[in-house]
Order: sequence, then structure tokens, then C-alpha cells
Amino acid sequence: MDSRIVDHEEAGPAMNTGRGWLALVLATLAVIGAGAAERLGPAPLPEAEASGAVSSVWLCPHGGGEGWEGTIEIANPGDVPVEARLHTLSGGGPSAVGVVEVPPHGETVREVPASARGASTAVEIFGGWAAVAWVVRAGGKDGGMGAEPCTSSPAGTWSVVDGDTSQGVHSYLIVMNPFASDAVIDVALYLPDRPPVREADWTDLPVRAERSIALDLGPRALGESIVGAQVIATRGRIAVASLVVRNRGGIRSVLGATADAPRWILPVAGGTGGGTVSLQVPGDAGIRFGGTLLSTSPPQTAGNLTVIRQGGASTVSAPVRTFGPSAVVVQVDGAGVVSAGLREGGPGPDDAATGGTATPGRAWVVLPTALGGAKKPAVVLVNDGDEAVAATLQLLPEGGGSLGDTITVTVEAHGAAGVPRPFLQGDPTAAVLVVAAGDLVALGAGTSGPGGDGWYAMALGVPVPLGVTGLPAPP
Amino acid sequence: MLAILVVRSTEPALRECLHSLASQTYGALGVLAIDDATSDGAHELLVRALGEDRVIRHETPLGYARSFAAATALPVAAAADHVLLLHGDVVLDPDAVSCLVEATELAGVERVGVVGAKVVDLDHHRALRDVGRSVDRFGHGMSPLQIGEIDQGQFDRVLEVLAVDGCSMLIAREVWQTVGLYDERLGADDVDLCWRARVAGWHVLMTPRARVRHGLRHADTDGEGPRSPRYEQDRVALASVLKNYGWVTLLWVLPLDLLLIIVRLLFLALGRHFEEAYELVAAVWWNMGHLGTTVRLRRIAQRGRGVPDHALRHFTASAGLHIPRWFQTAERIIEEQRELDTQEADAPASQRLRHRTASFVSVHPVLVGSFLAVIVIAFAVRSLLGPSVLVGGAIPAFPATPNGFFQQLVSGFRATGLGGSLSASPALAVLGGISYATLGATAWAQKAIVIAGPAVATVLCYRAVVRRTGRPGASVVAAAAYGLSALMLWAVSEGRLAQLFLMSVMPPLVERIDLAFARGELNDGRWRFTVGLAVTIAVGVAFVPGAVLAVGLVAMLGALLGPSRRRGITLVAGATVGAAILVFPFVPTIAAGGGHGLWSGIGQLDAWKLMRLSLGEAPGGWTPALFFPVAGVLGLALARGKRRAQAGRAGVTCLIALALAWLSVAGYLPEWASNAPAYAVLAATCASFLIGDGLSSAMGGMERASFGFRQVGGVLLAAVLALGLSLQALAAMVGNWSIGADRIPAAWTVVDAAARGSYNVVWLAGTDGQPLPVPGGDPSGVVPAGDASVAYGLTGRSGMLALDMGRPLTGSGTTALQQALVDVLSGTTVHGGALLAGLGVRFVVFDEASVPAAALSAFASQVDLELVPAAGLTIWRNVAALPPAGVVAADDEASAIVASDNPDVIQRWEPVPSAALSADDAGWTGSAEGGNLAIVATEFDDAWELSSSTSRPQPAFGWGTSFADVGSDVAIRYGDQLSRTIEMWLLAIVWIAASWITRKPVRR
Repeated sequence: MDSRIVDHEEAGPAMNTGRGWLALVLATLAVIGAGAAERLGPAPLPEAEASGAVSSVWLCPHGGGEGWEGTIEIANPGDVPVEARLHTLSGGGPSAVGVVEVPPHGETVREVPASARGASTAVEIFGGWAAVAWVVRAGGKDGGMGAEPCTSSPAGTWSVVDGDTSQGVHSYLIVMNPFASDAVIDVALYLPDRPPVREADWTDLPVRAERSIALDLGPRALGESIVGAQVIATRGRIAVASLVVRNRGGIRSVLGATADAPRWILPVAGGTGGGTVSLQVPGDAGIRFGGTLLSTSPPQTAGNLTVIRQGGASTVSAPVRTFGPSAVVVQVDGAGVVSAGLREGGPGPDDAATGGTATPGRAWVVLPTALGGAKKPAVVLVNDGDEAVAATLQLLPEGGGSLGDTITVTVEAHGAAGVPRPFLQGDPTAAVLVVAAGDLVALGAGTSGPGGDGWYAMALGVPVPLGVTGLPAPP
Repeated sequence: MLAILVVRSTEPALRECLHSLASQTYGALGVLAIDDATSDGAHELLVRALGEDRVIRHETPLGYARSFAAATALPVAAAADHVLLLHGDVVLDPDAVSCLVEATELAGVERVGVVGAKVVDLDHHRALRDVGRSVDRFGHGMSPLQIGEIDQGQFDRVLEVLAVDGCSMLIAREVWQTVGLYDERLGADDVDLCWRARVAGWHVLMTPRARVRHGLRHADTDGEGPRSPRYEQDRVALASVLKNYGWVTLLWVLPLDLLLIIVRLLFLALGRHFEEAYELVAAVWWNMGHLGTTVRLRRIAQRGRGVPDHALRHFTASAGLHIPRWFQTAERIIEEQRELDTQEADAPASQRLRHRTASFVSVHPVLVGSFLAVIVIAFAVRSLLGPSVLVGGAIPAFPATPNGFFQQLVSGFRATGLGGSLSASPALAVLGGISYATLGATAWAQKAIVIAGPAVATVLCYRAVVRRTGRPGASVVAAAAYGLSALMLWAVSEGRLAQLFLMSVMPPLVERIDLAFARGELNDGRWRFTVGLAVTIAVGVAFVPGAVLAVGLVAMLGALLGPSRRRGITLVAGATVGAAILVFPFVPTIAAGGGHGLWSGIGQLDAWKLMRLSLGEAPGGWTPALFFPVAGVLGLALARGKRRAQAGRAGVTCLIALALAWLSVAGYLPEWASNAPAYAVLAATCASFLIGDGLSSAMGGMERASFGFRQVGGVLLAAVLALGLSLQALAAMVGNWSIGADRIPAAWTVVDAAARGSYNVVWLAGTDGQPLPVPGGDPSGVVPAGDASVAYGLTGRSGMLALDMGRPLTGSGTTALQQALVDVLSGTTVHGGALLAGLGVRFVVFDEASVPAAALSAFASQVDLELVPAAGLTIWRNVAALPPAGVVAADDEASAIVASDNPDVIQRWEPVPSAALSADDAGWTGSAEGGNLAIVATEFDDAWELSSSTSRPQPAFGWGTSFADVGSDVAIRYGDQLSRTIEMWLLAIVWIAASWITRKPVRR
């Protein structure tokens, strides 16, 4: 073999540095490009351009009883008419109530069956957004009135803390499954001084498709002044509310909460000032919490709720004294979360309750709670923020078209304000649209009934989502 | 003994031939020469050598067969015990005749009828030309010799054979008088003559002691025009079979022969060897035309039968496997190694082994590569073998029969997805053809593509690189890198059949386009080159329409960087137009939706993974896969000489392709330009070309060049390749493929098994380039909904179908689907089920981990979608669903909703009982079961008809098709099939024309 050292001609063209440099440049570009790509990330995708197919569904687990009357109120704050399709549910299956049109800036009230304890109503809204709430008025041997907003968020987990199984009081959980598949639920009852009750027959309890049932808490936790309940659907989606019926008259409803939170705002209006705050601690760890009363006066400690310790997996209730339109703000220290409720005594034997909210909003629709004779509506606006907030209010009467002028109410920071009664009396059964410049919470209350002020109910307002057109401008 | 010498022209060897005859040691030898109408002085030479009396002249040429026949008709021939048939270009050793005669009296062998000599080349005395022949079962003559085999005494023993070379053949008188001489129709066919002698019970021997030298063989066509060797072989073989086999043998040989002829015709046609196919047909045709004579000759041959066929079986070889050749090749290789041993006898054992290995690999790179590939493939695909159908990954489901492909190809309407009239891809014809080739078992075809696809792609890559570099060794390594790239293993793992086709097409495609822009003449000529390129592009586009993006990129860079820009642009533009013509019914399909057919949502957002050409989770997608691009960079750095320019272009193309692949999946390119897999395949092709260029430049003469980067880079490149290929091969062999027998998620299997009837499924996934849940296949599009954006696809219950290969989901139905999903994901509606009802969608399926939380929330809020309990997948059942084709009892309100195109109205649709219609090739049929409104989830087309009714089709839900007032029996038919039928005939003609233009020339 020829072992001469050669180059160029014989060994082929010399290693031209051109391609070496090109290789280096391309490799460098590749590495830089990969790094840049990593930083840049994918292009943001455009937002959805919806076709105008707007719909929502509202689930109203109102319950009922023999001789009871149920009413579904649908308020349309927008500027286009919406259509509502109602189905009533009970243990015997669904039945169509009918289709109603809700005019712009107006409301529609529709009677629905409420003769069964587990009665509930599903409302499908087409063509726009509308707020939906229920009012049930006891009849027969019962008396009283209950009201709550319906929920548009069927979920798998619900908490409600308003049960009372003391003597002469009957508490129920109304569980509705308006969907086409069976749901399976586990029910746990939380008590003040006892471990949670998880009965075998309330574990993997089926709730058939398009059915609504009432679960009587009494036999499971007799003699408890406050019973919290957590309902978990291991399969399917449900809506849950509590229904309390007192022998001596009086009913109240509280829509369950789908999530626990560390801070709750519990507005109150139209009552006598004798309230009870209830908390359910779902976790095993105990909590410390306190309560603040917001009213037209400066904030103050609500009742004795300075710093209260409460063990895990339990419930607790404490009396609070409220003054006119006000709110109790419950704050849990640390990482604990709870669900909360507030019941308020009414002028008569009837009382009212609310589950409150953890999330203030800028626009609310407060649906009427006072139906029937001698109606006295009340609306409270609560400002949990650090700045005063002004709100514009507008009545949404049946037939639509808004009644009269709007008014503006200013709510001081960490305060609550009632809506002037003359404004509400313009149409006591009209819904109230609240559009604020800042975050508020709105709640409606009212008394009515054959006994004058005998029947009393509270219902939290329904927050208006973004995108609803036709609302008045905030002040 | 009479020697009959037939002279057809003045052979250079004639004088020597005559001299050798004169020099024979055998005494009793008479010579009779036949001058077969020579005109160049041969006659004078013969007369001078033999005398006027021993030379017979033909005025017109008769050929060897007739000349010998004429000679044996003379009394002098009948008087001789043996005749020696000699060609005029044969030179005999002095004792050749003696040895031939001696062999007739060989002890222990009775009835020796024919004796042949050992024939060597006239000019190269050591080159063997004939030592006796056998035939395969179908009459094709077979020689044990390799081309150019050297005479080393390996055949130096008297051999009993089926036939000997007729250039010097000794025949006993009894033989030619009983079985005759040559079948003059076949020319001087030695095999046929000897076979007949064998059938009559005579022995045929080849004696190596009689050596003759023979010049180039003459064609002996007896008057017919020049035909290809294939024609002659097949014509003679079939005729010989018909004459010489007994009836019993013929009963099975003949059908099998005809079957093989059909298979061969198929392969020849597929390989565009049309002229050879024609020659084969002509050979069969000739035999059919001469069947009468053949039967007559057969009677004669069979009448004198002395031995049964099975007695001759050891003279016949297997038709398919020529095992001896393999052994002979192995023998040659061993011989080479022996020579090396001899040369390095004194070297240490380790050095000998090293040299021997290096020598072997460098001399036989393809053999070594093939051997290793077989081992890797055998290990890698072991889990894919077996009777079960492959599922999982992104492998499309095949129809039950091959007909399914062709029915959909020629169908005027789309039977899949949401209907429409867009044509299916011509790729279905290929898939159908492959399915037929696997005996009609489409599941086998599916497996065959998965298993053979990578091998074919690797081979085509090898061929492209070797054309580019001229170095088989470097090309084998480059192709191996391509075949073991992360991209290839991903395609196999996911069962991406279209991708495998694209990976097969891309190397020749890029190589040809590069050639168009390169300097130098095109071997094929411009016209043939252009059509050939058009065919290649068309095949790629038929399977992956996005291939055209890769073509465009290569052409663009060629136009910018190539030396022959004008020519390149002209050729590629012409080829692109040609390709469009070759898939013309499919062009509107690709262009629909603004070129949506070019789009692919598959890709890799992680740029570092993309750099190693890993587009998804698969064996071989790991970090070592980086060897491929690294080797490509090193190859680019090493490229020199004439390879510098082409390597530079390949390097730039590779980088840009990678960048475009990432930009595609990241959503920065317009939809029509987004196709990460196509760009990635282009990048892989360029990387393999770079490796080929680099290795070719580095190999050879390295040790003589002054030390520098070439040595360092070469060693580095070799090390990277060795390590990378080894690890990738290991990954392939032990990898767990996404496809297999049982790869459908159990959740979907259970739900699907419980569901009755046909239905559509919407599959969702994230927008990160990963596929839909199995068996949803690849996304058909993206629903833009901000944080809730998802990729989607729609299929029937079987999942992604091979019938939709290359065909995008576009049209008004898809627009409706997309809008419904937008409405759901935007959260404006909670009646998504109603919006999806008209689309025949019964289930919405996704993997919760891959879909944005906002999308999950949006679906959870739908009141008419019910979550089905299923572990591993999130499956929503549409409670408002309609069957893809069915009849409902619709009141005025329901009819108004069906007639509306307003989603706000459509969302009010409530579930109603329906009677499903069954799909067939022509549409749908079934019973109305009391319903009055037929609704079909296929794009509205006025050509749809309701049989036995005057009812006209109406749009349903703004895009579908409905018929009001249907009767009890419903048959919905498509009325515009003719235009598609015409299109398909034209398409067939276009392909035939293209195939004819690019046909492979026959060897003559």
C-alpha cells in the first residue's frame, strides 16, 4: 500500500472550511432556535366566536308538601327576550310544565307543582341569560314561606348547613337529578358534638334519572339543633337544597354550596335581628374562625364570634344579633374551609335562611321572595371591600320594560345598605337588577302571607355573568 | 460418427473450429457442414476445408434446428451410430470427440442417449459456459453456474443432467430417430430435446473430459422477429411443460404455472415493466396459438415414454428458491475470506479478525445491512405478528374486504365522516391492491404495511443516497440512520401507515428534485423525468397531501441555491402539474376548506425533542435519537468535492424543515402550510442525505490525507453513527409499540360494546400536537376557544378509517360540528348534546389529562351530555343523539328545529325515538317504524333521492339531509354517481399513461 502523505489533488479536494462553517452555523441556529421556541411557546389561540346559541339550565330543588304552592321566578335583565322550558321532577318522573317567554328587562312567574316533599323544577333558558329562583309557600297543615335562587351549576359535591332535627322540626335534603343517567350519592351528616353520620343506606344511594327525592334527616340525627350535610355524587350530577319545616309553622330553604370556602358573606334583611350563624367543617382538622357584622354602622364583631375554635368534621352554630339590613362575614383562619349558613327569625313564626356567598360580584338580579298578600319586600346590598361602592338598581317587572327610573344606592366600605322601601314597593313582586361599580353581594327578603308579616323568606341574589347585554351602566 | 457442423456466418472461430475437427484423435469421424445461407466467405472456407461434397448450402437461412433436421434427413446421418451436432463457433479439444464417445459406453450407465461437453468461453478458457442444465418445475432452464464462474475443476466429473449445451451435443441414432431432433418451432432448444430423450428413458450425460470452447451464442428464432430473452424462455418453457410432463404432473403443474404467470404479470405491471409483461403474455399467447401442434408433438413424446416424471424429479429445481445460488454466494464470500487469511497469515488473530470484518463489510455493505435489518425487524415486529387485527396508536381501521377500498374510491358520495361529495384519495387503490395481494385479508395488508413499510422506506432511501453519492457503503449507513430514526420508529409505533408511505416516497422525491436543480444531463430525458417525478409526488400526496409542502420547500430552496434554476423550476412545476393531473379528483378534496387537507395537527411542541425528530412518545424517541441530526451536521461538515453544494442545500433544507415543523405545531403558520410530519420527514431525508454525503467524502484515501478535521470528523461521525444506530436498533427490538392486538382503552371497549347501532364519536385532545384518544386517530382540526381550545376529530364507532386516508374532514357538516364545539367550549350553551345530535354524535371522548381544564368544565356543564363511568377516558354520552341515519316521528316543533340552520333553535332539540337506517354501498335503507321524517348526517346534496317517492331532500340542521313524509320502507340513494364514475375512468387512463411513459425498458 502506498503510504505517502498526500493532500489536495490526490486525496481529493482539500477539506474546504466552507461546509464546516456552514455546519457550525446551522447547528448553532438549530440550538438557538430550539431555545427561542421553548421561550416563545405556542401561539395563543383566538377566543371562541359563539354562534349565538345561548342557553342555561337552572335547577330548583325547592321541595314541597301537601297543599304547598311552588313558584318559579325567571328574570331577564337583558335586552332580548328569552324562552324558558320548565320540567318538574319528583319521585315519579318528569313532566313538562310548559314553555314561557320572558320579556327583556322583565320577569315571568310560573306556578309549578310542589305537592311532593321531593319536588323540584328544572328550567332551561334559551336565547339569552336569565336568573331563576323559587318560592314555596306552605299549605295544608303547614305554614310559611321559603325562597332561594336556583343553581345553574349541577355538580358532584354539595354542602348545606341548615338542618334542624330538634323537637317539632323536620329537616330534609332535596336531591334532584334532572339528567338522563342515574346518579349515585353518598350522604354524610355533620353534627355539633358527634362524629359524622354515614349510614349504609345513604351510601351509594341511587337517585334515578330525571327524579328528585327528599331525604329526611330526622331519623339519622335526631335532636340536633344544627345538622350539616355533605352530598357527594360518585356518579352523575345533582343539585341539593335543604328544606326545614316546623310543626308550629314556618319553612325555610337553603340552596347547597358546591364548594367550601374560608370566607363567607351571609347577608340578612327583613328579619327581627335574631339570627344564627351555622358552620360546617368538612375536614378532619379543626379550625379557628371569627365573625364580623357589616351594617350601616361600622363593622363590629358578630355576636360572640371573636375567635372560635371548632373541631374537624363537625358543625357549629352561634347566635348573632343583626340590626336591619346587614351581613355576617365569617372568616376562617389559616387554610381551613367551611360551608356556612345563616337563619333569621321573622316577624312571625316563620323564619328564613340563606347559604350566603363567598364571591361578591358587580351585577346581581334579586328575585322577589314576597308573594301573595301583604307583601313587604326588602333588599340588602353588602360591601365587603375597602371602598364605598355605588350601585344602580332597576326593577324588572312581569311583562318587562322596567318600571320607572333607576335609583342609586351607595354602600360604604365594609358595610351594608338597604334598598329604599318606596322603590321596592313600586312593584313588590318585581325582580331587582343591581349593577354596581364595585363588588357587592345582594340579597332579597320579604314578608307576606295570610297572616300579614307571618311568612318570611330570604333569597340570595343571582350574580349576572359577563356578556349579558342591555344592563344599565353602573354609576 | 457423423459431425454435423452448422455455420451461420463467418465466425472468427470457424477456421479454428475446422482445424479442431481435423485434429481430433477419434478416428471414425465424418464431418458434414451445413452452410446456412452465409454470405461472407464462410462457404468458401468450408469447401476448402472439407471439400464440395461435404458442404450443403441453404439458399435461405433456416436456423440451427432446421439445419440439423435437414442434415439428419440425409442417408449418411442414418448410417452413423451417433451424430455430433456442432455450431460453427465451437472449438473442440483434440480428444473431445473421443471423450464424448467414451461417455456413451460408461460402465454402469445403460442407454446413454445424449452426451454434452464441458463448455468454456472461446476467449477466456477458464470461464465456464455450461456443465449441463436442469429445469425448474415450470420448464425454465437452470444452470448451476454463476455468471463468469471460473473453472477450478469443481465440475470435473461425469454428471447426469437433464440437458446439455447443444453447441456440441452427441446424440445416439436411436434417440433422434425415435424422439426426433429439435422442436423447430422453438429453435435449437437443448432443454426440450434432452428432456424428450430423458422421457424416452435415455440418459443424458455431461463429460468434463470433453472440453469445447464456444463463442457468443446466436439467437435462433427461426424467422420470427427479435424478442426478449424473457419471451423466449417463457415460450419454450411452457411448450416444453405441455409436451414433456405426464398427465398427472400436468394436472397440478399447469394451474400452478398459470397462477405464477398471473402473479408475475402483476409484479411486472406494478414495477412498470410493461414490455416484459407484454412479452410474457405474448409467450402464453404463442403457446395457445400453437396448442394443436404442441399436442401432436406431445403425443409423440408421451408415446415413447420410458420413465415416469418422478424419475426425473431430481433434475428439476424449486421454482421459487434458487438455494444453490445463495450457497454459491456464500461460497464466494468464504473464498474471499480465505484469500484474506492467506494474505494475513502472519498477522495477529485480532488484527486478522478486524481486517476480515472490515473487508467483509466494505465489500458487501448491502448484504451486511440487509442481514442486520432482518434481525432488527424480526425482533422489533415479533409482537405484531399473529392473527389478531392491529389496533391502537393512530392506525386506521381497514374495511372488511379489499372491495371496500375500491367502492369508496369510486363512490360519488363520502360514506364516512359527515358525508359530502369530495373524492376519496387514490391511495385507496393502493391499499386495496395490497389487500388483494394479501389474499383479500385486509388485516394482513395492514400488518404488511406496518412491517414492510419501514424496510421499503429504508431501501428507497438507500437507493436515493446511492444515486446521489455512488457509494453503497455510505448509503447503507445513511439509510439505516433513516430507518432507525425516531421519526420512523414513531411512525411504526403509532401505526401511521400514511406516514410510512410518505417516508418511502420522500427520499426519491427529494433526490429527484435536487437532481432537477443540479448540473448535468438527466439520464431519463426531461419528459420522462418530469412524469416520473410527477408520479412520485402524486403517490406522496395521495397518502399525505401535506407532502406538497415539502416539495414546495425543496423546490424553493433549489430555485434559490441550485445551479440549474430555470431547468429545475420548469421540471418541478411541470411535475407538480402532472401530479395534480394524476390525482385530479382528489385535488378539490385537498383544497377544500382553504387547503385544510394540507394541514396536520400532529407534532411536537418540545423543540428539543423535535430536533431529534421525535414527534411523539414511541420507542427510540429518547435522547440517543439525537445521533441522527448530529451525524447529519458532521456529514455536512465533512462533505467535500462535488458533494459540497448538494450537502449545503440539504443542510439548509433540513434546518428550515425542522423550524417549519415546530412553527406548524405551535400554530404560527397558516393552516394550509402547517404539517409538522411532512416537514419532519423532509428533515429526516435531508439528514440521511447529509450522512451519505459526509461518509462518502470521508471514506477512501483518508489514511493518505494529511491529518486534520477529515480524520477527526470522520472518526467522530463513525462513532456517533455506531453508537446511535446500535442504541436505536436496541430500542426498536425491545420497544413496546403503541399498536398491537389489544391497544384499545378498556373504557372505550366497554362503552362501544354496550352501544347498539351505528353512531359518530367526537374525539378531543389538547392542542399540543398529540393524537386523539385511541382509536380516534389524528385531529381533524382545532376548535379555537381561548383557554378551552381543543383539537377534535369525528369518526364512526370503529374509529379512524383507512378509507379516509389523506381525506380531511371538511365541508358544511364539519363547520356545523366545529361551531357546536365552539358553542360548548365558550360556555354560552349547555345544550351541546342537542347541537351535536344532528351530526349523529352519540359520544364525546377525551383523555382528561390532555384537555384544558376550561374545556372539561364546559363539558361538565352540558345538561344533555352524560358522563359515562369509565376509567382511563372521559366519555360523555349525548342523550339527545340521533343516529347518523334514521327516521323520527317529528311534530311541527321538531320539524321546525330540523329545518332550521340557527344554532339557537337547534339547541332546543329534545330527544325523540328514532328508527336507525342501515348504510349500504348506495346509501341507506330501513324501516320508518312509524316515523315521518328521515334525517341523515350527511352533507346536503340535491342529488340525494328517496326511492319510490317524489319527496325532495331538504337541509337538516342547516347542513345535513332530510326527507319529509317518508313511507314505511325507506331507501335513500345518491343520484349523481355518473360524474364520479367518469372521473375514475379518466384517472385510470391518466395513470396508465404515466406508467407507460415511465415504464422500465425490457432487456433484449
